[in-house]
Amino acid sequence: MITLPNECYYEIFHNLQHTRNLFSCALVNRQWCRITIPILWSNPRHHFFDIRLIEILLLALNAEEQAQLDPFKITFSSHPKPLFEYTSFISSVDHYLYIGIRNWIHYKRYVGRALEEAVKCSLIAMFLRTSKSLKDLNLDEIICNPIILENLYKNTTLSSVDFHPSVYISDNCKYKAIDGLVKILYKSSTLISLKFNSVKLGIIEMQILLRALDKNIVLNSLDFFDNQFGAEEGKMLAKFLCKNTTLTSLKLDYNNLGSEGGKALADALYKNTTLTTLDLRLNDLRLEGGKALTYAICKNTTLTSLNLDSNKLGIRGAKALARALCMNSTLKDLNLTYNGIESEGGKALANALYVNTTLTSLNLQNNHLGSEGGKALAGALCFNNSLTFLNLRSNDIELNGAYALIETLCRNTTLKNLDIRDNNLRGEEAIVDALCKKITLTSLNLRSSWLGSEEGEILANVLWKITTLTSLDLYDNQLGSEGGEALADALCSMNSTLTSLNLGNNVLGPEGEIALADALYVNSTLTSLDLSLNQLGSGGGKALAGALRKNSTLTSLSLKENDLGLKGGKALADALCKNSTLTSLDLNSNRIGSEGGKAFANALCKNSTLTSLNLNCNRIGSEGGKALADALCKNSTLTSLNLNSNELGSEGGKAFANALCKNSTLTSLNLNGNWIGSEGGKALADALCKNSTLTSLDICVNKLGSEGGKALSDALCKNSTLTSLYIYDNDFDFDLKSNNPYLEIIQYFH
Amino acid sequence: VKLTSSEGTEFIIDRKVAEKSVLLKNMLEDVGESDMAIPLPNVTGPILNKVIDYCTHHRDDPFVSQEDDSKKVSDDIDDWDAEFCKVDQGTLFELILSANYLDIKPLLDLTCKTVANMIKGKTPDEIRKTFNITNDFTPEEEEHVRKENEWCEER
Repeated sequence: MITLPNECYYEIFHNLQHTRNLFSCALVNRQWCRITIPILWSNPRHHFFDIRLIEILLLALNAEEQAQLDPFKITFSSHPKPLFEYTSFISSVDHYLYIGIRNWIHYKRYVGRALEEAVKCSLIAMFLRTSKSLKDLNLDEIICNPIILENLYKNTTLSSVDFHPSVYISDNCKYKAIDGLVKILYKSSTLISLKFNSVKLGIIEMQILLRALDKNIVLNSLDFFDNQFGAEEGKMLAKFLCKNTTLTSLKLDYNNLGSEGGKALADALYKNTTLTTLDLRLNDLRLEGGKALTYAICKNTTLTSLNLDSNKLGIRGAKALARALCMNSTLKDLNLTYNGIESEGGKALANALYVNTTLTSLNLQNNHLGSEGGKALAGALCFNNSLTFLNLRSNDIELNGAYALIETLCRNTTLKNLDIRDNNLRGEEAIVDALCKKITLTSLNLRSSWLGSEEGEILANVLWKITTLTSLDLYDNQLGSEGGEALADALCSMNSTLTSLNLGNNVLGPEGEIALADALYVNSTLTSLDLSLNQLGSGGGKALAGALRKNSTLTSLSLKENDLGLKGGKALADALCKNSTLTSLDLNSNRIGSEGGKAFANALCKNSTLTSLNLNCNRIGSEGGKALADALCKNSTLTSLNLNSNELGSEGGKAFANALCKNSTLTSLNLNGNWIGSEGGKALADALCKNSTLTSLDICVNKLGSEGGKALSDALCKNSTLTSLYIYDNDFDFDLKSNNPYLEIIQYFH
Repeated sequence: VKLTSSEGTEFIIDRKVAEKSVLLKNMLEDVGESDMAIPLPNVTGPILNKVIDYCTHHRDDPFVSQEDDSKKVSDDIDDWDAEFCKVDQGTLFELILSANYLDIKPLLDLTCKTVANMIKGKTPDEIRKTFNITNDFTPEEEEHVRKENEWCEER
């Protein structure tokens, strides 16, 4: 291999996403290890849950930090000093750490809150001490601990602190926390973001904090989510904003500022020229507070994002905002969810959109806009070409309103995202029609959309118009045989781009099926077809079988739960002898029976393209099973076979054991729930000693008993290819073990 | 614009194509129009040929800033690009080196993603085999690395 400069390796490893892949890379050689470890450790997130990680973190404590844990008589693991100073790579410590600590204490069977606090304190102190890359830190009450405050004060890397205490925090602790943070604010040149998450700060703490912030010129983001702020705190913050020139984002959502608080903040917006984001969601601003803010944004030219979600602004508030939007040319993002705007307010806002050219995102969810409001907005969108996101969810818009919107959609080219869910739209024709005009659509998902046969026909009629569509998912609708026939017509005459079609659970019935089978004679693009749960019966199965003899494009077919029976199954098996394109066939739950099983055995001797066959729940029995097992001795293409719940019995089990000794292509075999018993189990165990291709085996629920279990246990010492073994419910009471590190044994049903 | 590869082979390409490389773009801005060939001693002819193919195909793509592409995941490689990367491993690594040297961010991204995809889902041993890497860990070291980092394998 050509050696690359380290920066190229970084580039490669950053593309690996999954920590499991990075872990593999770390074990390749020293160079790869040195490069991957910092990436691996930079943001462990939910891995902080893992007690193994907590154990390694505890190894990084120095003597002083360890001393904090002395009173609790903790036994540390005997692992030597870690190879790397792992914690210096960590960039973010979030609340997952606290859950991990609790998990660890629980696992070690220690008890007591005092211990939990001590572990938290020592670990956070260690993070702050060893930090070279630590940017984000989440702290609960532990922040009041003098050791933490001292380390926080010394730290020079943190850029964001999220203070999120439990509800039990004492006033004294709040005071200490603020006192400590203020000292840091006076000094730190890196801390740019502070969050007080449900702290319920009092007036005195706010005074101290704001006094410090008046002097601070680094902090640009401040978040007071859920602090029970009223008008008084609103006024204090307003006063602060008038002077401050560094803050760009202020979040006050879920407080209780009221109209008075809103007015004070509005006044500040006349003077402040740095704030770009203001979040006032759920603050009971009402018409008065809302109006004051709208006057302010007529003058303010820096604010780009304003959230007024749930503030009872009402129709008049919306009208005032509409006037402001005609004047303002900086606001990009406006959220007016749940404000009782109604159709009158909606019309006013629509009028503003004719004039405004800067707003890109508008959220009007839950406002009773009605069809009138919807139509007005549609009219405006024909002219507006700045809005890219519009949310009109739950607005009582009826079909005629939606028509107008969709017509607009076809003309407007800037809107990327229109949400009209939960309105009164019956008949999806409008949507379907609009979609086919959006020429770039490649994939359409209409799962569980309450589409009936009528909509199915409409859909079929427009299918050919969408020349880019390659994938259509209609699973779980009520298309019925007529809808199925219409779609079949479209498939053979017009559309030539669709490659994947899912018509599962659509009550297609035999007629719909026959029409679709006919289409498969002609169509030459479809590669994947799902017709599961459609009550096709033996007639439908035969029709499809006929088509499969001729069709040479379909590679994947699912006919799960269709009551095909012996006749349908046999016809399909015979078709497989002729077909040489299908690679995957799913016949789960079709009662094809023993004879059906034999027919497939015969097919497997002749067919050499099928790689995956699912015959789950088909009452194949021991005779059919033996035939299939014999076929496996000859077949060399099938890689996956599912015979879950088929009453194969001991004889069937032995036959498959014999097959596994000879076959060298099958990688996955499912024999779950087949009454194989201890004799069959022993035979399978012997086979596993010889077979070296199978990687996944499911033999759960087979009454293997302790003899069968023992034999398997011995076999696992010899087999080194299996990576998953499902073995639960087999009437033995010892745990199976293996030396193979890549083998996962699933012995208990979760 | 004229370029010469390490063996001295000359390539004549459009300025717009050349400017996909930040290195060449800066050079061209410094020297202005000139008939002099720009020597690229670190890039061989066949590789330079591939790089030019890439830049020609993507000549009209907008310039992607650093922040935007951080969101991309390694699965979204389009057909042309995937086809372009169907080369032997040696060539692929040479392409990475050249993309890095010539500073062509999208090509570097693409080739690195391709290598990342070759790594995904493999065991350390399989990775070593794939890239012909020798394991220089002592058994103790390997055990340490495994123990200290096994938390990243989800249970």
